[in-house]
Amino acid sequence: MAERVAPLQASFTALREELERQFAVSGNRKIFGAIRAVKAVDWHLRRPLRIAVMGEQSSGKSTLINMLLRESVVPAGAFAGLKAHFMLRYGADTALYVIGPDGSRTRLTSKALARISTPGARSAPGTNIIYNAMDPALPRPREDLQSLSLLPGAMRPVTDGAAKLIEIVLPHPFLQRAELMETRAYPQNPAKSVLRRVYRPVDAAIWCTLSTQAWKETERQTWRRLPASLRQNAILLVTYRDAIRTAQDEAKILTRLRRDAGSLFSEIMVVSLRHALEAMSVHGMIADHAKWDETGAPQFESGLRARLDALQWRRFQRSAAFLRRLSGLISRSDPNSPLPARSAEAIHELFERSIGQIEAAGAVYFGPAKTGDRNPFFAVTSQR
Amino acid sequence: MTAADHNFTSLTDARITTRLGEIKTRLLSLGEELEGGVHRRVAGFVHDLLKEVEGHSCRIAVIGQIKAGKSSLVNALTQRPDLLPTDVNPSTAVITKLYFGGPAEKNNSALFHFFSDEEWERIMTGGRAGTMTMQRNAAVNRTRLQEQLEGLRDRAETRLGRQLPSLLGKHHLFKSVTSSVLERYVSAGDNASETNEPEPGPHFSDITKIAEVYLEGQPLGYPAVIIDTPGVNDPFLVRDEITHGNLGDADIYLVVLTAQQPLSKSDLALLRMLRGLQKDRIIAVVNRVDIVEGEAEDYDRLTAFVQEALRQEFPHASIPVILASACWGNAALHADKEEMAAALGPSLAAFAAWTGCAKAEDVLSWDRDRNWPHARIAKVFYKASGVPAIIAAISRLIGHSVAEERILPTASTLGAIAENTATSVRHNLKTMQGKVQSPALQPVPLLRDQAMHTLRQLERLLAHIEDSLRLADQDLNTALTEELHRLGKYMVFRTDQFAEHQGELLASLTYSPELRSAFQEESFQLRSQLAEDFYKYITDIAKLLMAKQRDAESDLRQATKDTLPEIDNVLHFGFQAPSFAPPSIIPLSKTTAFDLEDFWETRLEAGGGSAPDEVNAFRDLVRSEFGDLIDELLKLAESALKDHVLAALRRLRFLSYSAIYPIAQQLQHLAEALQKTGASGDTAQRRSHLFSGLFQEWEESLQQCEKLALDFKDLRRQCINTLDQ
Repeated sequence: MAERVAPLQASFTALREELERQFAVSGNRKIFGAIRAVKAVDWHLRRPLRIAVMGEQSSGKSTLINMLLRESVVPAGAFAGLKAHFMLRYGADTALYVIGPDGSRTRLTSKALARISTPGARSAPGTNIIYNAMDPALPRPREDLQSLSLLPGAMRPVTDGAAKLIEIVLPHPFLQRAELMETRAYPQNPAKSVLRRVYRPVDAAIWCTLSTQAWKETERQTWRRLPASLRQNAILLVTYRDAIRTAQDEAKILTRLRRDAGSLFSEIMVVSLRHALEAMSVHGMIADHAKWDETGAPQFESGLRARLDALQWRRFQRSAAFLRRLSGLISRSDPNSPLPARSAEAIHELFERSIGQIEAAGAVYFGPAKTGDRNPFFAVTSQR
Repeated sequence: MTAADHNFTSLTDARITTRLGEIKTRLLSLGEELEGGVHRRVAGFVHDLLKEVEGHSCRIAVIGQIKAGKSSLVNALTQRPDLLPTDVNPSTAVITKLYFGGPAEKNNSALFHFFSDEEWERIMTGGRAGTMTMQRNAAVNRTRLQEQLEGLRDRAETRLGRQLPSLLGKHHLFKSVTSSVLERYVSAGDNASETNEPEPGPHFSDITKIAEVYLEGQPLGYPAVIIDTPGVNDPFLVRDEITHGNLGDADIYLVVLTAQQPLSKSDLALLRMLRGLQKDRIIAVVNRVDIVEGEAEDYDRLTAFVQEALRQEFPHASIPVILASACWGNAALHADKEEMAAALGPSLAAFAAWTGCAKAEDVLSWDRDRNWPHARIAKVFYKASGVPAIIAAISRLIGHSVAEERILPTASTLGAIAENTATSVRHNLKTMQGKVQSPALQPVPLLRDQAMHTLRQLERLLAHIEDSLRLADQDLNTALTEELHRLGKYMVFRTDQFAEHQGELLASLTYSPELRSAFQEESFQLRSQLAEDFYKYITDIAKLLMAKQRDAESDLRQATKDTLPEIDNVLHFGFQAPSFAPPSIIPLSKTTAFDLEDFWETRLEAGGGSAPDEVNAFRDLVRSEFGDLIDELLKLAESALKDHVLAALRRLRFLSYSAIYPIAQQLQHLAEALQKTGASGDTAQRRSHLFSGLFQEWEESLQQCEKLALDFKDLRRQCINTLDQ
């Protein structure tokens, strides 16, 4: 992403510097406002999209994230029990942070890892990780994240009073386009929780529900408490497709879900994460194409990709429109402190350049879909 | 509908209940003998006791979230894999009671009760929940509950057409019922508009209140009623309400959890409703183990997790936790090769290895090769399914409650009756026989006078007993009414405190999410507190009543001893009086208006709420809502206690009679016989000839009662031994 938006950012910088120069000269209030606006747009466009993966316990959230990333990053497993909230972000170096209830950010060393457990919390069944040394078909964990698998402390259940967010920073291509957040449920007391700050800028959501017990009332209540705007970009993902016996049963389940939850999500899909992971090779490439096709994963991934593309495109468009209006506002002459015509022209031109860059960047945000390794999000290389 | 051909009874361990069933049969036959051998006034009481024992069966309620697999589990437990309808979507819509061990002529029949007109109307208006929201919700927005109710009414009308009004209040009886019939009455069924298949006959589940099915066999070794319920946590709110309203009183609660999401919030809420139950009456079953693939440590951890969480909710109980798979159980019962082949896999291998019923390599090898040890595989499926373990656990729990609440007290009472009768007759025989046949011949008229004199004394004693019992009745009833009144006041006081506090919170926080979560937390605490207080109070009341009962007993014993001083241990009241079972506190867990989403949402949206009027209205609503729960609970307690007192006094009366009436009757006969002999009874020889028949009768009666007294003692011992296993 960095290399694509570099020209965009360069143009923003140029625009901002020119505005600041003008402001220093003229003290025009509108220009002052414009500087802040441009900064805000710059910042807004820098941040990648954010996807929240939610659902009740053991609904497949961690497995889903591992599948999207094509490697085992987050501990997942049959009886993984309760875990902390996770945020996965892009960064050049791997790092682990914990965000405390007051918003403080602490980098974890192995000593700190050991100290992170919440004393007195109920003991969870611990973390059971799917990777199995004897089964070569499953993706292997990253070496630099091996320590995550030894994170029993961090994985202790989170009580809302001591809400912890764990930030995992990875140099992973998927994360350049979209951050992933895994969380069990909306906290009871949003005003007090640090997660409120984290929840607001969520762009898309995936709610995981088990096929054998899909969409219970508690799930409905939790989902309803989230902002309604989220529903336009939310996918209800029915997991454990392998537990559904016949196509007729699947149709019945979908009918009921459409009736009970159709208005709360933009689409409903079914997937078998277990089979999806089984169809992958150690390096995260699809080894068994026939199996992969039957899991429902390809449809889900391309649906997700399309949604993210649309979201990003809309973001870019809105930013461009905003800048255009801003530009128009500045070029209109102000009787109190008129701008010299040449300056106004220079500013206008820089605006146009930024807008052009935005539109160019938007078109190539995700780039053309990758073929071969069947991954719509990034190119899987055989090297790690 | 018979049990599956593949009979796994040998694998299930209902030892305790089976033996208790045998003990019960023995108790009934001994009781019949006793009934024939005692005075007719006492015989009626004995008969009633026996009827209670005979008709007793254990009620086992199967509860849990929707789609936890309750119906499948019940099918597996009863060895009838296709009995209750199951579906991928939540299916059970009606409380279904399966009766085992009843009279043979009822077997395979079913009775379906429909809602009455009033009940249907009440449901249509949303019941308690509905009226509460609609009072406040004059606005245009239809609540979700209302929408669902309208959908339900439409569906019922579509399915039943014009018959609907005439069906309400009726019931349908089937002499022999099949699974497809059950489906039409019990299962929600797909909406006709959504599937294109025509329905096979009218579908009644929307208006069916309760389904009662009578089946043959005794899967638990003792007469039982297994009650299947619709699940909780259903987005279709009406079903939720039905379950909550009908949990009532069961002896055992089988709480069905799922392996993927054991003990979620909803499960905990359900378990909390069961708080305050006397003794250990809950079994936790973690179902659907077949879907997750784990290893030994996972299963250990899962069990430990559930056990730990249960210990926190129920610190003094020991609740067995059993991992299970109804799916495997039913596969074994079907004995269908293809079904079992599909279910074979690593999850069965891992789980079977963990439970020790087969080696993992063996299971995996069956998966690979087609040469099947068919019967052996079915056995492994059945054992791994956890069904035998569940039945054993139920058996153990039932055993204790049946023994302690039915068999032991009844055996004790009947034994006491036998003993009292024996003691009296023995004494009578000794004195009267001695007097009549002694070498110092007392004149007949004198003997007769003595007999009449004793008779009159006994009559006076009986009158005294009557008075005593009447006083005791008044005393006990007054005491319990007073105590309950105090309890009521205390509970209302607590509720008022809570209401005040909530009013203050409303004034300061207005209608906000903070208020809501604070309310929810504190109302939960209130309910727990009330439950604890209630339970403690009631236990104390029961103890008080027991003490007063003891006083009455000693009074009666003293009076009897005064009248018949020569008899040792004249009046025996048995070793074990029936104990008092407190009513369950389920009324305290009922839904109030505040538990409904809609209540809060309309107010949260409207905002505000700190005006004094608003605050007062809120407080009043809190008081009245919780006040209703308390009233209901107290009513239950009152009727339970009153019944208990009634039964206790009745017992005292007839135990007293069992000591007095035999003597009275025998003296009566003797007096009449003496009247008839007159002068011809002048020699000892002639007397013994004349009265030998009479005394022979008395002798036989004595021997019978002595034997029965020993038999009942022996039965008690047998029962206690069975429990110790």
